[in-house]
Amino acid sequence: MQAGLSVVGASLLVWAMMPLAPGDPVNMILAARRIEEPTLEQIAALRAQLGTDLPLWQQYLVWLRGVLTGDFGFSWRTGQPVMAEIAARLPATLRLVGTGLAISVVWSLALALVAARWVGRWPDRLVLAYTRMMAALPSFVLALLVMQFVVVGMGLGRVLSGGAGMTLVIAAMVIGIDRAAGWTQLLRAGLLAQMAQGHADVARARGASEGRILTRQALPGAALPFLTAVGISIGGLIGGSPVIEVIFTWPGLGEHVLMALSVRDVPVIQAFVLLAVLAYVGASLLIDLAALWLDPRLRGQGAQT
Amino acid sequence: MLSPLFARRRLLAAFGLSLTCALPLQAQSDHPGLRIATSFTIGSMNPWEDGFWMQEFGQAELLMQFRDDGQHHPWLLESLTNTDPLTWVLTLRDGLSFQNGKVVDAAAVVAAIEAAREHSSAAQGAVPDDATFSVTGPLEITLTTTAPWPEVPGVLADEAVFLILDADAVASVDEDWPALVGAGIYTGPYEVTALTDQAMTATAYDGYWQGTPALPALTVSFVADPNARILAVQNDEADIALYPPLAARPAVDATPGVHFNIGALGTGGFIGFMNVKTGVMADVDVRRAVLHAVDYREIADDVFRGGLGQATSFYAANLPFALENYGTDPEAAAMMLDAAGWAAGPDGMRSKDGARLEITLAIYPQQPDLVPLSTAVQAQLARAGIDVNVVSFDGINDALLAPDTRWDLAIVSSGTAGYGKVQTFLDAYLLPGARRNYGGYDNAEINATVQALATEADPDARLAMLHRIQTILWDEDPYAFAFNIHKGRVIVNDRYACYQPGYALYHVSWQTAPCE
Repeated sequence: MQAGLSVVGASLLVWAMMPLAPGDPVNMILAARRIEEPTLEQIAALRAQLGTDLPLWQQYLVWLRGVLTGDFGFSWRTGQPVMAEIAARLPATLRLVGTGLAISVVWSLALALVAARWVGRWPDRLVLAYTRMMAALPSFVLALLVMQFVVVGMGLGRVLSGGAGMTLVIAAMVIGIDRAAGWTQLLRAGLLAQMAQGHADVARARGASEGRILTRQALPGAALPFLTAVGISIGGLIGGSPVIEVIFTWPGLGEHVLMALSVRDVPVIQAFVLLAVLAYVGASLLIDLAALWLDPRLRGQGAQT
Repeated sequence: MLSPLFARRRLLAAFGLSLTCALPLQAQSDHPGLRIATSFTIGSMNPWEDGFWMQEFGQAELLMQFRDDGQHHPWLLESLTNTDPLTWVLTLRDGLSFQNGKVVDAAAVVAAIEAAREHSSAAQGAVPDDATFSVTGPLEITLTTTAPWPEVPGVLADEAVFLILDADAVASVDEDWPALVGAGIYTGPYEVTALTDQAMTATAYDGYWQGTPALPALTVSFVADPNARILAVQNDEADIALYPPLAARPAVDATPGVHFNIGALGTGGFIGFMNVKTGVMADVDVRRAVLHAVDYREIADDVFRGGLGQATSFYAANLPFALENYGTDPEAAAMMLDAAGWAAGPDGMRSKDGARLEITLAIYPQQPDLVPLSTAVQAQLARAGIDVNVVSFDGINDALLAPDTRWDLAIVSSGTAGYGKVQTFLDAYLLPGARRNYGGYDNAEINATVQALATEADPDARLAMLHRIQTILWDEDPYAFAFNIHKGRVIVNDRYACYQPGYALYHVSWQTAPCE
């Protein structure tokens, strides 16, 4: 229910970009098609096709119907169907974001376990200092530094990525390292809380090692808030990837979306925002299901509410 | 008008020039392929929508070429002759062939022209409906019109109008555009062998009519991020980066192995338009004062460090019809404002009848260079006692034309003489009711002169008309003026340190090669 409301609310907000945007979309699309002096028939035909002469509520319904059938209209910049342009670039973005997500989860898991295992000692302090620094560093700054000093300076990877190879690893690491900072702190706190619980004391009394208690007892309990944070971040990961993609010349949605933003190509922006929202909603649903699977007590709560 | 004798002399001169200073120093096999990084993506092999890119990177050619001497030179043509006001004779060079081996003769060229007129909206807009292209000899085409059409050389030199291509081969793919990769439909020195959404590659066409291309191949990578394009040159992944931001120049100058090269004056610039319908700009003295208060040298040399050319007239100084009538004269500006009743107050700012002399300067965010330019203009006009408020509009064209938008002066990047053609700009921006007459300009003499210019074939008469238009726009009834003249700019590595930005977007010729 909540997910459905989120999607409907987001769709209204996203659609509103169209009537609020300056300029006539018909002129922009015709200009993008290099028709600088359109005939009245050309203008009328495109206006009817876009539905821009309908009342606003009808425009919304027409737009929504198009969206539900995968039709986001035409790019104001290129004059081409928005969905085709996005579909061509989406796989590369998903590859980068997916790799970045995997790196982020593994990296934050490793750091949080190290910090919790040696809490208060130098490994913990080192991890805390590192995560605070990385959390304060904007990802695009990290990306520019990596591009300048790692790719150009050390000769690892290529500036013109071509969509594969070492650049995928480096760009995904930038995304992963950036996201891992906050997740590490969250997971570390969860692990420490679990380690202070009674069941951990019982395990200690039975002679279990701290490492075993950490991985077998504390980690499952701390995983739920960690997974929730990961799920919430997926929309942000997709939404934030364009800048990283452009810096690393990754052939995903990045350049297309940033270009759309710079020239106010509203249909492309709309499609991208909805894509990020759907990713967020989908990931949240998956996380909720995972939570029910991990913690059977939640199933009862769900039934009561 | 180009006589055959004159055309031959130009051809000989061009040939001599090529022998003395531009021949590749090594055979093509000795050079690695050229790698270019550009900001724009070549979307498809559709010749009617994306074909113009092919002229820029050495795949396609035109009948005429517009060069930095401000003249039109025969390219695939041997000569272009205006035999009478309604007739042009186009004579092709002998020995031309498409990259697929087919002969380029008059029939093939007419087929290409007619295909463009049928499918290309740019060609449809540029060519009168009643113009007819007829084959009158194996290598001769006769163009007839019902009214004089003096801009034929410029139209034939415009990359968006008539690319010379194998029309039969294009028709045979039935809009399956990827099938044109490797089909050799053009005549240029490099044939497209691959096109993706990341890069275009092309290899040398050994049968090229001017000689063996200097390079074995070239790759044009599409890289939106200007910083990435610069780093690609720095990291030896590209030889030439196109369209670098001027702001990058100090950093590039301080980096070994890369060079920021500035080219010749272009055919456009940041053009100022004044709102003559309403507000203070309705007063011709204020408009004239603004023209004299702007410091054109400071904009070019100090604000943009030579990255933009100084405006010395409405047109670039290398164009044969450009006057040299611009000048900065703060004292004259002050006298004009005094005469108009705008008195300077204790703070130096002027007012009349209790109202301050304020203007709203409209810019737009898609041109980052307008931020420093508008700041400079703000400071320059403040020295004359004019208070400037800068406002940025999305969709500047629609905003300026909207009746409820408040603006007095607008800056728009525009070509005033693209490919040496002046009529397009004059028709669209200066005539009453024209689609981009932002400020409601309506000068009877300008209107009559622009309309007469469209069909005036006599060069001397055209020159006099263009001089008169420039004089009116500066001295008598100002409306549109150039803040600067654009220049091409590129970033290159050491191998291409001598490379100069292509004029009229002609980036790669058959002789483009490393400097050593």
